[in-house]
Amino acid sequence: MEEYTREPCPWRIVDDCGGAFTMGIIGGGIFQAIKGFRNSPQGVQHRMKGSFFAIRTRAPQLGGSFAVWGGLFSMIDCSMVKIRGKEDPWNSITSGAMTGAILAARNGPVAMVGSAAMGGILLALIEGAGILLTRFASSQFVNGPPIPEDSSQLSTPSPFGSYQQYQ
Amino acid sequence: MKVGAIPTHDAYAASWKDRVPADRMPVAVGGPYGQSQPSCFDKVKMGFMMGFSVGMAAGALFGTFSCLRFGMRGRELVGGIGKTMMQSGGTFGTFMAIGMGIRC
Repeated sequence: MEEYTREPCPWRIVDDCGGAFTMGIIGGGIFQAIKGFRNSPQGVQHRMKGSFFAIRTRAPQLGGSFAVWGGLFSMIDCSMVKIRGKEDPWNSITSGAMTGAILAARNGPVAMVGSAAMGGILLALIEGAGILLTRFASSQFVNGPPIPEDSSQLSTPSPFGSYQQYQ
Repeated sequence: MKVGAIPTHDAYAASWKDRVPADRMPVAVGGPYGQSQPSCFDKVKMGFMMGFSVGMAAGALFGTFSCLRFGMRGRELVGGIGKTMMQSGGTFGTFMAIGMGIRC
């Protein structure tokens, strides 16, 4: 998720909500097309009709649940950015867990814990993959390495003795 | 001259620090403004790979639990976990690729 520069905070909610809805609609469309095609009775006519019916009924549902997840996630994320005053992977992980817990709130505490664990683990995996990816990419690209070198060169010989504390 | 230069540099560094979190600093400096902008297809491909790996990891975790609960043991368990891993990897990868695709 680090590849695009994210929106500033209040607008991020709208952005994530809409992005998740679109993602759910398109992805749900693809998967439900296949599923509806396979579940229909024989004959191309029936299969096409079943495929379209499955897309029409199921894809908006999936998009809606994606949008709810994304919107709530982003709201909690923005609240935590405001409260903690910083923006790091723990925000995403915690807000993923809280989103899972809140969305399962009507199924009782056990379901809440399970859902929270699932959301937290999922977001931790995604964040970890993003960190690994950016580390790999920054070591691979030509313009990656000069930045740490540059800052160390700035700080070591330098009149700016206090630069190091900002690292 | 140098004495005069220090506060401005510090002020710049401080304001920069406020806007950019510490652990993402090199990324924010080097990443989006590099000379080699990846193409849309590259982004989609990278999103798919990332989603696939995340999905494989998640599938390994959750698949183990669900297959154990289902009562699989031994060779059957390994096969069940592998199937769950491939399934969730494919699903995640597809969704991640779409998510990358709609943003470029």
